[in-house]
Amino acid sequence: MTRRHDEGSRIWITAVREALLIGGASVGLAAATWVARPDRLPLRAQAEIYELELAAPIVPVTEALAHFTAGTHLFVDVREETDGGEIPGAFRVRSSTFDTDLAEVRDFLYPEDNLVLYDGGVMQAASAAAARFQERGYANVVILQGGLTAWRTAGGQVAGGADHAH
Amino acid sequence: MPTDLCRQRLGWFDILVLACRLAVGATLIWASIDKIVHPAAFAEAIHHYRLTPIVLLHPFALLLPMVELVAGAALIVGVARRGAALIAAFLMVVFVAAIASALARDLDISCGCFNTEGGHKVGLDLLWRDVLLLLAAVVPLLARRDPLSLTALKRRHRD
Repeated sequence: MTRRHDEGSRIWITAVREALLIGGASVGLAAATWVARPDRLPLRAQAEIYELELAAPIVPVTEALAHFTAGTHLFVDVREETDGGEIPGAFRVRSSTFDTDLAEVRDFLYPEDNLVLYDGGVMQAASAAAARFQERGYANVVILQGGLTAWRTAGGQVAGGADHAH
Repeated sequence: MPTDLCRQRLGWFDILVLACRLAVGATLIWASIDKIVHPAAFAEAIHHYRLTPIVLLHPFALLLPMVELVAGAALIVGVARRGAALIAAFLMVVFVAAIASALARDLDISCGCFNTEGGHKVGLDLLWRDVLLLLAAVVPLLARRDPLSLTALKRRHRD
């Protein structure tokens, strides 16, 4: 029993020691490759570069919930297809019929309004829609981080669809 | 030297250990190459998972493929086999967690596993693949014998 236990311990000690050696070698090799490359990647990523992917700032779901409760922002659903569930009171502006949908709700969405755009969660559709809103003079546009999926997870109200529990 | 290697008698478990070592090692090396060549694209692929803080994104994008490469090579040639298998198993756990998290959040992203541009969409098939690789990595981690490896060869010469 003790012998087996000793052998088990020895296996793990060897594994960890060797893993540390491999880790060290990898760090050395990564550093050498990094130094040798003329087009080296900066060690510190610039947040702006990664956020530039999105056409508008993102708003965390907790903040969006606070905006929703306070009634300071209007929510816009940009998803092409939905499961019937949406944030209560959200306007529907799909990218495939953007101008038609926007024309229908224009009397309720003013360029000075604070808009929170959301999609399923990937935020690419929301980003594309944000760019189009901005082109049409809407300056206060943000994107809901994680979209409707994050909203649901955080316990936000959802009207209709598969979300009767909320 | 090759004669010594050929003289080793391999049982079915030895063959299993060897197959797992080669499969996991080759997969890790294959996965590392595009990431090493295109670190910026790999950083972008990692960022799509929205799990890594921006400050860690580039160090992670530079280090992870190199760990894959070194651990993969160690598994194939049979040097520091247990350590390499432990790293491979740990990486698979991390990948499974990242993929499961992306699936849970409905993220429509490429996995960034082998190809930093385009590549396979994150899905259940990838999850199962990484679980299989995790199981395959556990075999050389726990096996007592180390067939057809440089370490075993060195040991035979010493004896």
